[in-house]
Amino acid sequence: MNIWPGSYIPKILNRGGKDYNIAVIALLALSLTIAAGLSIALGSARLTPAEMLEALSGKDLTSSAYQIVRFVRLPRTLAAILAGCGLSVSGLVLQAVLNNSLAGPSVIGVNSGAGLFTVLMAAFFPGTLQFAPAAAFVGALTAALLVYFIAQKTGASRMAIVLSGTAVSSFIGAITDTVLTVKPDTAISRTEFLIGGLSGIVLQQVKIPSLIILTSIFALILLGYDMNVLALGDETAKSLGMKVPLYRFLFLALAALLAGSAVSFAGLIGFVGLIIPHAARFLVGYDNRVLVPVCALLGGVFSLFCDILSRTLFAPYEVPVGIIMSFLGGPFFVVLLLRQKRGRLYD
Amino acid sequence: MIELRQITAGYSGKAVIHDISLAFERGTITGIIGKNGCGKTTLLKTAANLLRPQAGSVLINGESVLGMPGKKIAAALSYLPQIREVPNMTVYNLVMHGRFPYLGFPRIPLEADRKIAKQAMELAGILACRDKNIRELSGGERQKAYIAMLLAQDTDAVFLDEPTTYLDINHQLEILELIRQLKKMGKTLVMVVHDLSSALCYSDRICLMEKGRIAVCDTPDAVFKSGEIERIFHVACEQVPVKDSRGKRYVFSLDHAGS
Amino acid sequence: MLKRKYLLFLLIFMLAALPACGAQKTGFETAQDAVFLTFTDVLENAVILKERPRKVVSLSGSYAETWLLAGGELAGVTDDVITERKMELPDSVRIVGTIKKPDMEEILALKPDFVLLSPDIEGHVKAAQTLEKAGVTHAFFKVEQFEDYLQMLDICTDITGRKDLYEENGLKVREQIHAVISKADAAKKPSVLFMRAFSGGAKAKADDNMTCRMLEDLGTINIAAKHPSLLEDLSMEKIIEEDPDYIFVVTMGDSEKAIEALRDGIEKNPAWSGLSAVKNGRYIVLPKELFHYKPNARWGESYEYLAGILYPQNFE
Repeated sequence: MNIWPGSYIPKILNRGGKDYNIAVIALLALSLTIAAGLSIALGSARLTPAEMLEALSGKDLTSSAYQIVRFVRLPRTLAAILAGCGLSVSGLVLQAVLNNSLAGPSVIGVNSGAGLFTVLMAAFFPGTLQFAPAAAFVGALTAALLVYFIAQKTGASRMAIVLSGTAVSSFIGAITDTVLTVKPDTAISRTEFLIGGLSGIVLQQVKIPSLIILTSIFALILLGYDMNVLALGDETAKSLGMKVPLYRFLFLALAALLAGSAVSFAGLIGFVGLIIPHAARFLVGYDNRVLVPVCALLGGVFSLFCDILSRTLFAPYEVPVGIIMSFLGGPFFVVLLLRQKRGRLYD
Repeated sequence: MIELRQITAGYSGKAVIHDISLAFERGTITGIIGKNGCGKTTLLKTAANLLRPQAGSVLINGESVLGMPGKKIAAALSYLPQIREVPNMTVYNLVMHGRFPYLGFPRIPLEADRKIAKQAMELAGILACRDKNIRELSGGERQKAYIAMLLAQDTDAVFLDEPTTYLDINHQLEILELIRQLKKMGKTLVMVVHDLSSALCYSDRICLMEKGRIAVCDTPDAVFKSGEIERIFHVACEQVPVKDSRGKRYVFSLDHAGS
Repeated sequence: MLKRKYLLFLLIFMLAALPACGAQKTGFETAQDAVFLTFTDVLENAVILKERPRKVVSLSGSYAETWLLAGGELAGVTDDVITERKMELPDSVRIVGTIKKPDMEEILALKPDFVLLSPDIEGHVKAAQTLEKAGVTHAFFKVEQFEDYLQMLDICTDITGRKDLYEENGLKVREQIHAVISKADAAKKPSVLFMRAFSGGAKAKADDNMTCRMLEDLGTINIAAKHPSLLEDLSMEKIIEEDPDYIFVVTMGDSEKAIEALRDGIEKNPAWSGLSAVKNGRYIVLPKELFHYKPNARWGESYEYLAGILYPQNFE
């Protein structure tokens, strides 16, 4: 079954282009820097450019401008970038390894696992809300392990993993709902966590996840070639000397680490993991060596953009960032699909 | 030289092929034929180390594959599957993947790798399509691209599962000629072929399988004379002289003895 | 390869930025000189106020009200102050977000010297971490029963210095409550069922719930205390078996939707209209301001309201 989607390489632009790829990456890096700057400059409190500069120079540590920039906007900017990077690359890896362009972190149970553990903590150990991120992370990885373990019993083929992931996610979701029904006074409701958001982020929450995310992305850049080989098919990859089950597990583990880390501080910001890989493929094609950095950068930019909107549109009220992402991402996704159809005519 | 000793292999615990002992010599083309479901692909996959045998052993130049490092095996055997993903990449990129067993970490191809890839494409006759996307190629050209990848892998033994099925006749013949050229380079070639005529014509040795066992394994001429093809396939077979390099062809018609 | 170099550079830049962000300088030293007031908040944190706070922010509508009752002034509040408590505040008071999602930027921009929070709301726990970093004094309060309110009022009036208001809005209310309880008919002992309804259904409540405590103080017997299973599952059988004298309901969230859910839920049950409480007009919806939100200074009023229903002869 040929499940690779149609050619996204824009024929006009791509000259098989190493130069093109470099240009795209450079452009994205620039966009990311600009977006980060905007994220620090914009917010619900109005800061004049003079106040901004003063805040960045750190001269007056007690000025509210400094405090806002240092303790509210900076952590939030970093968190948005990391969440966007982590989830996008996680989605890319899953789509590549499972050869399923509708795969996202939720497919391997990461989202539901994080949700369950967070709810369990809030329901049975109230007053320990500061450990919620750690719980989310542990839950995400536990669920992913469970999914892989079950799939492994039937040979860990791509289909087995997707099926196992769906089954485990549904099951875990049911348990979560049961807990919430039995204990309706739980401080964290399912919907809050489901939508996800970066409000009130503290730098402390982001330290360890950021290390994990950056290291994982770095590892995946180096492993881009191996992802390409795996994409040729299990048999071809094996005959080229690749230990297919080992590498599949390795990639799934990295994807789970990325998504689990992001979910631990950002909640279940959906959609990034699903659409950014498609957008990236539209830009630079299917070579995973290029796709990993492009996804990371594109994910960071998109996430920042949505987060800026989420906190400035109706200040001081915050629109959950997940909703903004769906609003922007949904139509964009449709456009991508339509372009694919048109592309087919010329194939 | 690839050798199979008393191989029993199959899927999910069930054996499909039983107690097969066979050797593939250098510089020969072995054609595996048989009815659907007789275990041709299973045999091929086991020999190419893609399927672990339930009993028996596979040896490469006298050394068992068990315990041989994966990269070493990949440098000795290459395999062309029957059903393939059609990845979204240029021919050049696909062929370069053939050098994977030789790349260190990080995976950066050296000048030598690039040269081998180029030679592989030349040999397969696909150098002109180097920068084209595989999806844009015809079936025959695509097949050549895959074979070029196998050539870039530079192995002594090449296993092909139905390399000519679904191709246009000219491409079928081109692929078979290419396989012959590889034999001249000293490679060991083993192919599962559906079309009996091509198999008998191009192989040095024919391995006819029936229900998971070898019915007969000999030169095409000997296999023809043994009458096994006619028995197993319920057809009548005739040798027809033809004025070309090979001198003869095989023609089949429905067996009238049972009707 | 060129693009790997760009990447490496970007990664190193990001990694290097991290430790810089970890620097903890906030420029605040714990003063060894005179301190205005210290107390321990409900999370056992020592709260140190160096001087009487002038700019106070409350992240909960209830605490905003308590602070005002203590004679304090507010610089910032969360929007439930308007949407739920319907309090009227001067324009100078800024809205700093919602009770669940307080906006840190607005709060910091006000440069508050004291912030009131609740430990049960995740957003508040996170806010505390940021406030800690920014060196803003803050305290956690938890109010479930009247004593908790009284204690909070005590601390707040210590800060504002208005012990007269502690007398008026605290001790006098306590007297009022005691008066109501003593007038209640001890012999009667009516049985009650108390439910909290929301758009998704209704749940029986007991023990730690504020209204249940009032009911208990007034000498009633809560059938959910006798049958704890009612707390999990509102079983019609048990309710019929007990046939409580009074059934009280309070709504949370959208009141209309909650009432609707009741009508479509438990009230549809044919046995419902056969209950004596329903037949005799003793199935009563209680006002939110007195029985769902903390009534604070009106706590005495809540007791009176209930007593007037339970023992009408003794109360006019």
